Amino acid sequence: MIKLKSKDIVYRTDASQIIGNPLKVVIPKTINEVTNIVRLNQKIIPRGGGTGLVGGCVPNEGVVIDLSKLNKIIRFDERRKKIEVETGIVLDDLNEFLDNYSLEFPVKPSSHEVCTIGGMIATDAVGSRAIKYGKTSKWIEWIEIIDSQGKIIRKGKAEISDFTGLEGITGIIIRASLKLSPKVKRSASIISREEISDIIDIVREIRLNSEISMIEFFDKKVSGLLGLEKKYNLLIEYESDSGELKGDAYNRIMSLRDSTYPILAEKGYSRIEDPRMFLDKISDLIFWLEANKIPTFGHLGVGILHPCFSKEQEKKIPDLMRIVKRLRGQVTGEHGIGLLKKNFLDKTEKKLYESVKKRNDPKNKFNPEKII
Amino acid sequence: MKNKKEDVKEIVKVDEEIKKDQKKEEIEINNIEDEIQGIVDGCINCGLCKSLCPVFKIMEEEYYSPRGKAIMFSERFIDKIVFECNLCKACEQKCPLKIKVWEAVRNAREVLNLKGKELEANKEMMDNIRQTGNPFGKGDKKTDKLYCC
Repeated sequence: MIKLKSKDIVYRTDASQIIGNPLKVVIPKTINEVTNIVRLNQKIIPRGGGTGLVGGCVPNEGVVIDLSKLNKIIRFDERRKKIEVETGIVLDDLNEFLDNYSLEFPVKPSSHEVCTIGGMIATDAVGSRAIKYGKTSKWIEWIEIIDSQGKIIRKGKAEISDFTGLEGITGIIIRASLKLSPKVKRSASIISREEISDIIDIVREIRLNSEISMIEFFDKKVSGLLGLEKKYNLLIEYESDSGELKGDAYNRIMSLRDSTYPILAEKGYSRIEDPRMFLDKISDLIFWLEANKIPTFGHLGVGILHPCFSKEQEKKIPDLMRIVKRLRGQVTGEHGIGLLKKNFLDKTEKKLYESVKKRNDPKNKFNPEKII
Repeated sequence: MKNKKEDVKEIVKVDEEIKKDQKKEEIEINNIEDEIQGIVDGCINCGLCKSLCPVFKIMEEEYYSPRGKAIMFSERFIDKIVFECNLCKACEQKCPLKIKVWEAVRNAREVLNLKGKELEANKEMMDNIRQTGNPFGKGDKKTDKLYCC
């Protein structure tokens, strides 16, 4: 690896902490500049907020395009609840603007303060409110991408699946038209139980309640680290006044939830996984995780768990993936594949990604070596 | 002949003293760099600090973010970009691990100062304080101790 001696060193990694090596970094201010960069370079790595956990924007000798300055709101239609934006806009900045009109973009990953809409589209981000609002792609009307020739092309609802969740390997997503949702008052409650089976029963009972927008789970170890009762805990968010925690107390618990992973990472559990399981198989997986002393939290409402591994525990990740597959789960529920999970894809999935890549980027210009 | 010999001795002595001072300075720089690296050691690159950093909000480039600076420091790379920081401590407030990037920035400025690579404006300010006790050169007395840099 070439040892970088310039400040571009800051672009060699993201929240995954995987180290790469950028050949060059460019920070365009206009979409025209992006098209020129695409025309003039052979290997391009698009980057948004750099909050990915699988190394999706970690470069390997290519040109990194930081899209953070392409963050304008182009058009806003309050009546139709739609907004057109450049994709470098940060989710919380967008929602701050929409707050004036009592609207919001409702998908909320825990990195909402810094993640960009482009990154959310590229990973088809899910977030903690997935139980009610689903994935990012559900809220997209159209996107505009720059293809490998440097042309700007608009892709409608039917065509976006070649780009959403493809982590930038098929083109650079530069503009998007988003659907919005009315902003509602929220509150939260915490439920603690000694047995995991009781927790699963509660989730089964409440997850179809339309008033509930988030069901977060913390195992006993994580609960202890967060200062909650040392039992299994559920954090439930209501889109009404039904929860016990309101106002400042609600904001505090949500900010504690957002810092769950950073707190675990600081304790040495820095490798986070995101398997997605059917609800009736979750207890089996949790028993295995607890037996191996792996702390876990997650979005139980949609079956996504986040087991966090220490350096010494990382050798158990292939075992985890085998168990997840045996229990008919998915190895990744929301973080994507990037560099970290390439080896866990099965042949069919790989072929599918390869054919989409070939169709949209035959010269392998965009984000090479990711996913496939 | 004798005088020349003494002159040579004197020159050698001065040279040795300079070398000693340089070595001392090198050790001091090394110690500060160790300290800087230690401050940012636990950073997990989550990037949450970017949401509150007033400099990043304006510049919108990763170089100016506390996370960017922490990555540079972890590789012992110190650039003049460390002068682009308000030392407002917002990064520490936002950081889930309470990492004091601002403190590392302050120390990094000291390293650049020791290496003679500080900004011209910074140099001018320090000269003014040394000569007049005022950063704008408008004071009328010298100070014995410098508290700022």
